[in-house]
Amino acid sequence: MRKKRLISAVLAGTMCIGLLAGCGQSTGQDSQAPGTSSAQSSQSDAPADNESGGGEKIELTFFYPIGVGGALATLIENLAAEFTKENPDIILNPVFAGNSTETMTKTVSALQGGTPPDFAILPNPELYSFLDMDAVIPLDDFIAADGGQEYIDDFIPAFLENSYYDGSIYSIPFQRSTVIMYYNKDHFKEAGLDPEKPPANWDELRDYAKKLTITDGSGNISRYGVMIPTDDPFIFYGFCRQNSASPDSQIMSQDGKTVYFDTPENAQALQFLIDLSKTDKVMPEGSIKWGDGPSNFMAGATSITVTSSGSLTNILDNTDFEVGTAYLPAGKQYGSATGGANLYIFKDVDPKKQEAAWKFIRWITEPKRAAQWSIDTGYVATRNSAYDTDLMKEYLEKVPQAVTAREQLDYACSELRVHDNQRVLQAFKQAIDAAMTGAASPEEALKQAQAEAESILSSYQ
Amino acid sequence: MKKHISLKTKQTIQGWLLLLPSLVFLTGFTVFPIIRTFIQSFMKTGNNAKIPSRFVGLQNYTAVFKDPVFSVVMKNTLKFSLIVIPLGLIIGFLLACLVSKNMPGAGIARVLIFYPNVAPVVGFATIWTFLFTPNIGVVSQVMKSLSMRPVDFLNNPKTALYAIMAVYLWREASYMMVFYISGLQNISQEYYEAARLDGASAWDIMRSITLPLVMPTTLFLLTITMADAFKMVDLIMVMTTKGGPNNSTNLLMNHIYQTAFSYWDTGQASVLTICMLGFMMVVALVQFTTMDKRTYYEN
Repeated sequence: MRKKRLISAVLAGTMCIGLLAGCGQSTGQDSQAPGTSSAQSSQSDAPADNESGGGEKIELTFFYPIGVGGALATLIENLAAEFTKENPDIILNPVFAGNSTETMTKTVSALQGGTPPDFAILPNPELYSFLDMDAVIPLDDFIAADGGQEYIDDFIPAFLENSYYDGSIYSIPFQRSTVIMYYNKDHFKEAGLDPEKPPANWDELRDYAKKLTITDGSGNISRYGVMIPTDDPFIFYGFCRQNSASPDSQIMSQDGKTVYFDTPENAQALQFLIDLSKTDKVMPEGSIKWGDGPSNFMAGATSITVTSSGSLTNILDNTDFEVGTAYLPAGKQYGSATGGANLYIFKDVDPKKQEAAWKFIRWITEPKRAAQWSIDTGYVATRNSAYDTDLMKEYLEKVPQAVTAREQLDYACSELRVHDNQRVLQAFKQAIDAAMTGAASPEEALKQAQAEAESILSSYQ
Repeated sequence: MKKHISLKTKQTIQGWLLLLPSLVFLTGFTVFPIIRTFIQSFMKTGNNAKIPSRFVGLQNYTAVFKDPVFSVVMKNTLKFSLIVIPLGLIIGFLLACLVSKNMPGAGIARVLIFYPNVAPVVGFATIWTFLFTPNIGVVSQVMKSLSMRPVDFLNNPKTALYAIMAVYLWREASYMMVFYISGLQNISQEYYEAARLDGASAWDIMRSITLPLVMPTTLFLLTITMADAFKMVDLIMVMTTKGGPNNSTNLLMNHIYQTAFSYWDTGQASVLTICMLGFMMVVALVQFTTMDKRTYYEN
């Protein structure tokens, strides 16, 4: 009796946790099955023939993320269909793979399962992850044969920051963005500030924010002067650059083996943000979430916020006040990080397919498409010549706020791009969290993150 | 050459055949993954499919246990479970007592209370995130109108986990309620009548009849909710930034997911899974062996 009960207990216990155990497996065959998400392409799980001879059709599968608004899936599908119309030999299977983190997850599981897509649109600072997996190919030969240096030189240099390794180019910028400042011109007028003169430096930001903050009778703050989200280091990189004396300072070394978290400049930058909330009380305390900035801004509950240039369309569409955009305020200099995804071509893929993928990359980055893509999505057009198109000129005339992002790129810095990127990133995120929430001083927090990063990166030295 | 198969053999074969379907699934989806995970926890996976995994002994285990985040995560998970499980049982039981009687409106009340379990988690978690939005969210607004200082629950490491617990309980308690309703309705009315005839007070009835007789339900729910609480990850993913701020909402399952699918460290993720597995096995065993004695079954 007793024994039976024990057995049944073990079995019941096992059953309850059985579901969980499966999660430890990362080979995740299921996550690579195209079409598991809302991919509309019906043939997407039919792998193309490897033996594509002379005039045979080539079928390409590619993963793409959607980081902003919903209509993007249709845009990509339409672009793919248009490409096939012009190039009947190449059939494209675009596979929607979630947001950029999820797309990364899907791609890596596919790679580890040995069945990568042919090419993909993936986060630009993950280059070392792919190189460490030996998963991507350099694109120099394709560029030399088709497009040449002229093609590369046309891209905005800041966007190519994370494409190079060892003199070779591994990815082509595609859906890229940067962080800019948004401000409420109506609030500026109300507070007696010039709506055409946004705060240009840290002191002004502080000063303006004090004037813009409204405290009600019971001492509660009903409107914050400024909200700068810090739950993700993405925005903070810009502040690190702003506080550095060197015009090309980055948060890590070019080879991705060293990080520069623990510097007095970064600690100062962090202290500046803490002071805004704790000392001046013009910004909410704690770790402000990425989405909280724009949502408070659109509701008129904060006068200034900092977020992706990609939110411009959304913010303009959903506000009934006048919105201004500006560079992030300067410390010793201007500075703001670029984000977004690039196009990569995978290794271990039939060379014919790689060639076809390149053809598509060339096609989709043509100036007029880069311009249209930027207008439709809010991403920054990646090529200088895109700004010479009539399409773009017309758009910028209509939406002058969109100029800021591109112009600020002259002062752009990179996101974190090191080996074992996500782990090191998490260490940095924790440090900023700890400092912003008062769990540690900026110096202590950054020192801890530095030590952690160094121990993670030690195996790559 | 006996043609005749003995009854006993027949029964044995029949028994095994009846067991077969569940045995296949149990082996394929539970036993096999557990064994694989156990093996993986001693391996280091190669960076790509061509590099085979190699045996590294206890290296993954020492790395996990040395990581300061691990102890924070374990503390959070225990705190979460120890608060959420008993509270969920109590609230679920009280709700069930309220709506189990066949009064007018009880049906509607049951549906409304159970509703969070029908709504998709990601959907309502997003809505809760909106409610918690600092400054303009409903929670902030209500606090302001009560002339309290608004708290940014999700952005403050002291309150974030409790905010998550509240949302979790909002759904979980009603789930438990349903089981308690059926538990309560299974108790024969005769006991109550007899007790009343004997002049027992409401408290006596509750203590001596109702509580012991819903014990099997409680035991069952304890196991279920423990598994639920341990594998809770959806709310964390939607409502927080990777278990932040400052790891205050980083629970074990979220940590496993991050290690496996963000850091791609299959070895360490397996170690964490084994920890979870071992811990739950022990708790389940303790529950089943000790609680059994205090469980009363009718008849």
